[in-house]
Amino acid sequence: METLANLELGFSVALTLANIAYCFIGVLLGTLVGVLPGLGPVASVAMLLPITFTLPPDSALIMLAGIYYGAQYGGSTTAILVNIPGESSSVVTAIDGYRMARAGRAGPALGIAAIGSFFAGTISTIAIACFAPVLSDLALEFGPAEYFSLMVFGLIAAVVLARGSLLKAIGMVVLGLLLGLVGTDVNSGTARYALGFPELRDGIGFIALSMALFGIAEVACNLEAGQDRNVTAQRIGRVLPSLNDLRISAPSILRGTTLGAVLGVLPGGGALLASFASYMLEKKVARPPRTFGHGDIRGVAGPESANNAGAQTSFIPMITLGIPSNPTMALMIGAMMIQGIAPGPTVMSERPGLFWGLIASMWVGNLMLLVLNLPLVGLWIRLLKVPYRLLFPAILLFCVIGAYSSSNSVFDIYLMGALAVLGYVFVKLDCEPAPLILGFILGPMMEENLRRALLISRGHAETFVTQPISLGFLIASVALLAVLVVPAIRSTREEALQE
Amino acid sequence: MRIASTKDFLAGILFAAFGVTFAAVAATSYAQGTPARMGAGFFPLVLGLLLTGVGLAVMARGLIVAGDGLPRVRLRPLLSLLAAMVLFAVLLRPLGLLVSAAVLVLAGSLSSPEFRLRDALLLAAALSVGAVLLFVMLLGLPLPVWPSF
Repeated sequence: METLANLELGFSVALTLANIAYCFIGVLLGTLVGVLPGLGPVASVAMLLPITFTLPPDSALIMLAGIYYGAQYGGSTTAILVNIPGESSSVVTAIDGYRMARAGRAGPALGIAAIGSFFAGTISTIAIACFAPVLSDLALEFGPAEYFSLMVFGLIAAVVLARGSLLKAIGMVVLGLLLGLVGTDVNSGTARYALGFPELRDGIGFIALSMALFGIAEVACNLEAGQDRNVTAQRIGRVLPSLNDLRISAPSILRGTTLGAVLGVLPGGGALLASFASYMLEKKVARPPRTFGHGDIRGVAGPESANNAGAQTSFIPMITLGIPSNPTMALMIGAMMIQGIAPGPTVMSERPGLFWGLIASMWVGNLMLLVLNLPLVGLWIRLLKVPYRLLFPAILLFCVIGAYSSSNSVFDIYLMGALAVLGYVFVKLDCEPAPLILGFILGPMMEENLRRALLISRGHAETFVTQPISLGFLIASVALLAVLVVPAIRSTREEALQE
Repeated sequence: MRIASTKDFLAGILFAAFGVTFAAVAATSYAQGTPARMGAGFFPLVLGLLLTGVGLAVMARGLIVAGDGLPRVRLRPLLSLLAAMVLFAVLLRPLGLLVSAAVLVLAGSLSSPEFRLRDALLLAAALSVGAVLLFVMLLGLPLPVWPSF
């Protein structure tokens, strides 16, 4: 019953005219940017962050959430129509979706993606409403030692699930933690690693960092590689899937939703892992299996439901614990901080309107996606044809204005330039930037919790293993790392994460 | 000795260099404190050493395990993007958003091999006006719009 009352409060916030409008704009902008090739959800959210600076906190978060799942859906549209996944989580959608598009069945592919996503979104909204308060209450019991170990576990899980080399991912996390420490140490007032710049006393601007890594560096690499893409799907066909399509897809949607909702909660999980896992599962259970890879609608329905469910439930650790499970959630936490909200379990009790409003708006946003996207497919296709040379200057402009506006100083533009060079080097050396941004957000929090835990225990590090919850997290972290050393599991991971 | 994977080897050097730098500064310039009262240098020193270790491990693997060499690098796009950003930063204060955004778009467009002057000019005009409308008029961000000397 309490859940219902909470949801009612949520809808009363989400359904104000202003917030419906912001949700709508968010979903629309997110889809628009997500459809454009070469811009994934992380880049979209980073790029569009500045437009939420002047909004009230609940509207800002509602809009950002809208941008996030809009971009997610937009990426799938691109994957189906042009075989260029706008983001890694729609890589598997491209396999069967693009085949369907080439066979003139782009319409049903897009339709089933939208329907599956909406179903998954609805279920995961309910899941969030049921589980978030439980987790929030649990987290309120956490002391600094538990928090510190939880963050260790979160970072290790993120590393294990990152693509590419495990060692490099660990390196990126640690580098991110260190970059997060730049700036004035809250305890002693020492300005650390400020290199004599007064601006760096406030730390490295997180907008500048994320735009540099996910915006500028990406653009530079795209320009270098040269773009060649052609929209092959001329005929979209009926957008509404036939009854038969629905009948075949329904079990896949159900399985995808369940799998996605569970995997989304895991740190480092979220949409990417969910869609891959769902595709592998569908391929295994499909009878007959041979149509997979040749335009099987189940290969679109499952992963698309899974990635949307995962995208939604990845909000759970973010909003209840203040711990990001993927780079987009790191951006959301950054946005909360910009709005003056301290992320963590207290958000639910102190700002129930914001907490439940955001959850309710997710469902509203998913409904909008469904209503909006099917009629607008024609528009998205036209957008796909915008050449990159007209696109990237706009990205560049959004990035510099965003960097400037985050502190109202040109220093952040120079900083972004410097970090973009670093980001470019990372791309060239095959170092995924996602773990770095997670570390960056968690750096100061980890240090603070470590400091407090050691203060309470009078300097005894055993505190992390003598407290059961903390010990549990640490054991889970070690187990995760150990598991990777086992060759069989390692190769499965590589198989699952390869593109 | 032959390096099996230049990419990994260089990534290792990068990590180790960052790690050593962060650790050295933490060790020499900031107070370590005691475990019960951690100083400003404690956590960065630990992380710096950890990063150095990871860097050395990545380097070692680069020496032994075969992998990719360095990809071809063409620096022109990156450099001209950076130049456009610097131009924007320098011009924003005196000339305002309208002019500096147009300059940014024009200069940035040069990074593309498919540069066309007419398109770039049109795009610069459209985006700078659009940016003023969106960010200043609609969202009320405090950006200077017009030139002021």
